[in-house]
Amino acid sequence: MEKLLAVLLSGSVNGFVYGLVGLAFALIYRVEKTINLALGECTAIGALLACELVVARDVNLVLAGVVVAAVGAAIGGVTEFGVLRRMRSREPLRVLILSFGLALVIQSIAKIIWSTDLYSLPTFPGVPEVVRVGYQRAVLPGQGIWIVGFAAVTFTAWGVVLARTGLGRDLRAVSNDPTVAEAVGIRSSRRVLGAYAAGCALAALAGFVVSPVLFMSYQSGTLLGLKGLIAALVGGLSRPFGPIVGGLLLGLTEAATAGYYQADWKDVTVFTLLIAVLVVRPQGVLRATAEAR
Amino acid sequence: LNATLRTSGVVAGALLASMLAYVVVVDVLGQRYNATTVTLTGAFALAGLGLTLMLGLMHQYNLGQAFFIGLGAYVYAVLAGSEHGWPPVLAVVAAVSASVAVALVVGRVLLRLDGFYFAVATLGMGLIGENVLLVLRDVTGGVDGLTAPEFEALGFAFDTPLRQHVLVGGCLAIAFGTAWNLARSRRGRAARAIGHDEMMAAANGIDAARAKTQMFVLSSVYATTGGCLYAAVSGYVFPSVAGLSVTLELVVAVILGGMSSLVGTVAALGLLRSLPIVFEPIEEHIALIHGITLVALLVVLPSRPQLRRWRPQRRRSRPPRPAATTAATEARPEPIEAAS
Repeated sequence: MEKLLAVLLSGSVNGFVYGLVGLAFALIYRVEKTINLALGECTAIGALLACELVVARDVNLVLAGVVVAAVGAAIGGVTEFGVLRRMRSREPLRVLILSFGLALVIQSIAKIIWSTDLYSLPTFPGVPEVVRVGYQRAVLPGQGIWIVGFAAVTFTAWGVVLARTGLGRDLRAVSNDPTVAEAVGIRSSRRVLGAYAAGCALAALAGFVVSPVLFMSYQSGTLLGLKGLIAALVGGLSRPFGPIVGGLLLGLTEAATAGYYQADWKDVTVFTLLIAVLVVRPQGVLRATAEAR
Repeated sequence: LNATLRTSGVVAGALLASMLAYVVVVDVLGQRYNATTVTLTGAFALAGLGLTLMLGLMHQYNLGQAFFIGLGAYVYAVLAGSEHGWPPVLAVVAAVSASVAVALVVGRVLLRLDGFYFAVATLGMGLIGENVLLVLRDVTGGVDGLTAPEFEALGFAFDTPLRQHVLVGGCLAIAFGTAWNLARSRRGRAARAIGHDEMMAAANGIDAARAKTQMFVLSSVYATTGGCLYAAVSGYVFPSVAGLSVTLELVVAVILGGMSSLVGTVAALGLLRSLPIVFEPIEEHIALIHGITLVALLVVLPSRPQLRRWRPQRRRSRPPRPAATTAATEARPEPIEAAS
């Protein structure tokens, strides 16, 4: 019972992290049916930049967050405007492969700037360093509260924007067919640019928020990004709350594997889950919307 | 007979080229260039040839090629290693059969997905492979890897660098000849047709699912053989051989080599591998170079980057068989698509 509680709690905190990164993938998938694998690298950039600013330069935490988001958005903007728009033929599959190259480039730049060291931030203010739960006092990082809070706010905002605002309607239109959306007066290309900027900014912020619980180096973004992608795919890329459902499922699977079997096997389990979901339900575990397929 | 002669010519040419590369590199470039590096490039070129068939001809983005390199390398290292002590030839046979079995099952299941999800799923497969190698410490030695014995057949040990290179060069030449022939055969044309438009290929009577699975199996056999050779030549195997960076290097090589050109892939792989050795300072930034190359190529190249057009076979003295002209599976020369 005690163990179950610890597994559930730590699993869901990780799940929210994966959900956040997954939302970044879903944002981009919303406007262009493709995957930007460089998003994982954006989380690493966000975390490393925040550590540099807060620890070494003594910058205010809020200001650091703003800078991280701005840098993330800039990366997204350059990706879309500077690279993808210059492609001679922009097919989803080619963008996917290209983003692999982008990920390598971003990772190498991060390696040049921050070398191979591990960085971490102190826990954000307002929450205890560690939270102890249950009879045996299982230890959980207090930062989890911030992570869950940030994820809750982001997903609520995303849900509201998508369902209630003109922007959300535009995005749904672009997602359906960019050319037709263009014909009814929506500037598709701007929405695409915006989605890339927002996606990368969100990924960078996710890296910023998790940096107190994870030690990040220039290459830790890859795995985090892949797990975010798996969260989004498992939950369904076109469902507004798909990433968070997938993320929680992923986090809990991982925690259960680590808690009841061996921690070493958790990555294998997660990737197997991905393939199983892709084969059985490519639209994600949630019921497919009419829009999705 | 004509075809046999031509194939032997291609094989001999490939062998000659590979030996020439060895001589040039070892004798001209001198000490810095370790002989093993050339030989290892040949082993990876085998996997690259497999990927050229899959990705270049069929346009199936298989991002799990390194999985099969790892499979070959580890099955060889474990079975032929001191613990089990199998004869190396048997170990290679076991590795290849294992890869055929795995590729058949995996191909059946994953090739049902459309191109996009196939890419993601094979990516996941590659990651599973690397992680399993890391986790199964008892068998694979985890991060530390394993030592692998050198190859020997019929009492002849391939133990000197030159002998090893002859072994790899010979395998590469045979593989090259096979792939060369395949690309110019009916199956090869079917593969091109599927790569161009799967629906249309199916409408023309090509069993696309079957053709894709067969190509996937062949491509993974290439990779597995490459993996066995890698293990036998380098003497060590590490989990990173099944890693993402190896797959990426191969993908970059295939695209840089002109997508469907076999010679191009091998040459591109040689170029990518020799750059950091010729210009030492960039060795540290090899990932950056791969990344920039990949991005630049995909930005610049048109949708179906076929730098060399597929030419119909030149008419020989014998008049073409009527069946060949009526068969709907005869792919027409692919028009080079206008850039959109």
